[in-house]
Amino acid sequence: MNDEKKSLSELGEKIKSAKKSHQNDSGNRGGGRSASGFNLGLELVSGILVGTFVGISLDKWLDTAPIFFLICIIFGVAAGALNIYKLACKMDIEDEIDENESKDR
Amino acid sequence: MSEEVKHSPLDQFKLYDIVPIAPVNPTVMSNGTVVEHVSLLGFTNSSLFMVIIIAVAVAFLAGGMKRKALIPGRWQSMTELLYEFTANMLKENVGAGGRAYFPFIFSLFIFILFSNLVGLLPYSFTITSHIIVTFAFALLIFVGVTVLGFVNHGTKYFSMFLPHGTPLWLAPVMVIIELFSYFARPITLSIRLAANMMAGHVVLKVVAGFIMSMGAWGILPFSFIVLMTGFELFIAILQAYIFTVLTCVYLNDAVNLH
Repeated sequence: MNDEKKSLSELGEKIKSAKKSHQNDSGNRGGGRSASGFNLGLELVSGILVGTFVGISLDKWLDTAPIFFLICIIFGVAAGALNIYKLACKMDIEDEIDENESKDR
Repeated sequence: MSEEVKHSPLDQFKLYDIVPIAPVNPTVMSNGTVVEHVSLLGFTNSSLFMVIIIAVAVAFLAGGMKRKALIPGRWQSMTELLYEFTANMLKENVGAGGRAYFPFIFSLFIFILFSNLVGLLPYSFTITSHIIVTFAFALLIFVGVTVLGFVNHGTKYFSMFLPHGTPLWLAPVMVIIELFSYFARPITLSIRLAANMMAGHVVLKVVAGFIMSMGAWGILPFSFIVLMTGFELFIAILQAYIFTVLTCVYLNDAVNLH
């Protein structure tokens, strides 16, 4: 009887700790090994593509060529640079994690 | 001579009708060349390979789970490995809130993985080397994630476009830049997959063309092709993984905002 109670409470604790670890990991470790030189270049290109597309369609709609095209392409380049910055930050964090892990070992 | 010229390394990406529905007339360019089009709603070789991929994937997964043994055999462990790999990826990137989207992420991963792998077989067609296919995926994910973000967080989702600690005078500019970088997501996602798959297949075909033309020295490009095929196998799996991981990252923004 006593043994049964003990094992039950142990099981309860196990479930609690499992639930805790489940709730804690709303993790934010994106990207993986995805970041490389190709990806950095791609971010810039896609930023410019979006800028060009939005600019040209706005110009077509409002009949204001080439004002919005010029404005939007600048914003597109800026967005591409921002994405590269974000990606580079992520790479930095991952490098630090890797270094810490290799130190721990 | 002209027969040799016919085989371009880019021929493998050509679409043709198997069952034409609503055909489109060929366009005559200004320099006299005639450009043929596939029909509007027809069943092309791309569609055929999508069907084959789904059939192969379903056969692989259903066949692996058929025995339902407690101690899995080789086939069953492969399917279980795929399942656990995807589940862990979703848990790491989205957390507990992402469990509801597992079916979608799993189907996406399996479909892209199998289309990359089936495309590596000789005489097959790589559907993911076409940017329109990957862009359709990426756009679906983009629209789905955006709608999901607004459903989950309402107008609060707009706070995604304003980074923390932006000075007020800079806010209008930052919002536009963040909006543009948000719109760039489906483009990066689709170009990365399509470009990687296409580049690898073109390199394979170009080097394969050297084998016959170099005679006895053809052993050099041939050995290179053996290495390259192994590398392409790695790229196929890696790109499927990256596509799915990035989908998870975007999903994370929509599920747990900041």
